[in-house]
Amino acid sequence: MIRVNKLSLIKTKKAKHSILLDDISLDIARDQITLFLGKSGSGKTSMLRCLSQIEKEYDGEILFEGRPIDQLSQKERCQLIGFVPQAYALFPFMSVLDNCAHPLRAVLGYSKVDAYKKVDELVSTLEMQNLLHFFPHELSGGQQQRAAILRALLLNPVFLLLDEPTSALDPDNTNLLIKIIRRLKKEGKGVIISSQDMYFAQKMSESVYFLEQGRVVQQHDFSLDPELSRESKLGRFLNPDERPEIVPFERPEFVQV
Amino acid sequence: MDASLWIEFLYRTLPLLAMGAVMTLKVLVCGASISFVLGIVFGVVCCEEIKIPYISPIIEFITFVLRAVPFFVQLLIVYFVVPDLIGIDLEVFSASILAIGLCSAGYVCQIVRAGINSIHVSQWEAAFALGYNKVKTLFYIILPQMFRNVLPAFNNEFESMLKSTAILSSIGMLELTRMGMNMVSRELKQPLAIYLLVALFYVAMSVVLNFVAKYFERALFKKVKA
Repeated sequence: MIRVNKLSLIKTKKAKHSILLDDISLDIARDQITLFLGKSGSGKTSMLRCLSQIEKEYDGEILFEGRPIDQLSQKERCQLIGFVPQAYALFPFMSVLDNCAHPLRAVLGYSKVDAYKKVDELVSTLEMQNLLHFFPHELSGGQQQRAAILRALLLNPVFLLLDEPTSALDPDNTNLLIKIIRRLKKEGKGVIISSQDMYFAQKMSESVYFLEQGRVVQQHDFSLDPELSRESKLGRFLNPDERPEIVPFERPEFVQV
Repeated sequence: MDASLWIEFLYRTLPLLAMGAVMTLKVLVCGASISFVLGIVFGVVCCEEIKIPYISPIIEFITFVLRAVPFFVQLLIVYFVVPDLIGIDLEVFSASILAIGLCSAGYVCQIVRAGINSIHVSQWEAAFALGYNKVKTLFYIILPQMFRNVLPAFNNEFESMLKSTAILSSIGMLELTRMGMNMVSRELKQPLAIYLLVALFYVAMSVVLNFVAKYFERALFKKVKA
């Protein structure tokens, strides 16, 4: 289990402070899907960046099984948390195969043959068999994302973190991603997701944290209580019927001089 | 001058100019090696992701001075002043490669620094999340991308180094230009033909340098579309 204790993240630029995360405390269980929902700038990505230790200058503590996560070695950390950023960040000069095999060789010390064998073992679970020799720029957004997930999963992390995973996906690829995430959960992996995609959130819903201005304003566990009040903040976010209508743009009339 | 005299002229001048060209290439290769190694080390230390307190500002200042002082002045300092100051005997060749290497290192540092900074920070973060440390990230992920981005700038810099070797003639380095000057002053005739031949040698060396750069560019771009 990951325990987040009084986590705050403040960025200072030109003497102006900006609070990205404000005193957040929560527990994230293994073998469960956890969602951080909220509008842009609510702190979802900052939360994932702190959990993956990309952001280190936070106040408070993040513990894994009672051990501060920032005291883990590089090797231990990458086998605890796999992070897939919003832009996937595949290495552009490597094929998908090398993107996936290189961390195994450089970080875990696998030989080239063993690393390729390991990629082969896992590649079918993400339907990437025919794409291994392609370079990232030759893949679609969804394929790049699956390659990035495969690369993270090969290090066999306990938790997989996905930042805005559906932001560039069409409905077919979103459904495929949902299938993959559910399979990962069944295999005992914890999946932590940040998203503002309501369709995806409703499909995935398990343990949900709703963030606003860096604070958790509502927490709901759909596995314990499938009903959610429509009056709550999270309810309104997931069922946006009462959102203000978008006023159509009116073309200004041209005035003849 | 009839044809037989031209052939005799070329027979006498070409081998000497070729010797000068070989010496120019030797200085270029040695100077470029010094510049390449120092420039990469300086550039890496000065880039945004690696900056080391106290050391990076000092290196930034040194490279600024190397770029601010004209190459001819640096050459005079390295050949005439430094040996006197530290009491060593510096040969013309050693002084030449040291001066040209150091001067160019200032520019290569800026090329490398800009090349590394141009790579999106998400590449550093992705490597970090996968468990790479900074050194591994630099060698396996960042530098290969940096080389691809800055290859044309490297080509420019080494072309400019090739031209700068002509200044070495001022301290008596027997490279291509000096060889041509000696022949003109010895024979006191045909200066136009001799200097044209010298220019042709420089063009030929530039062509080779460009060919090598294009080969590397193609090899690196074959894998990745910009």
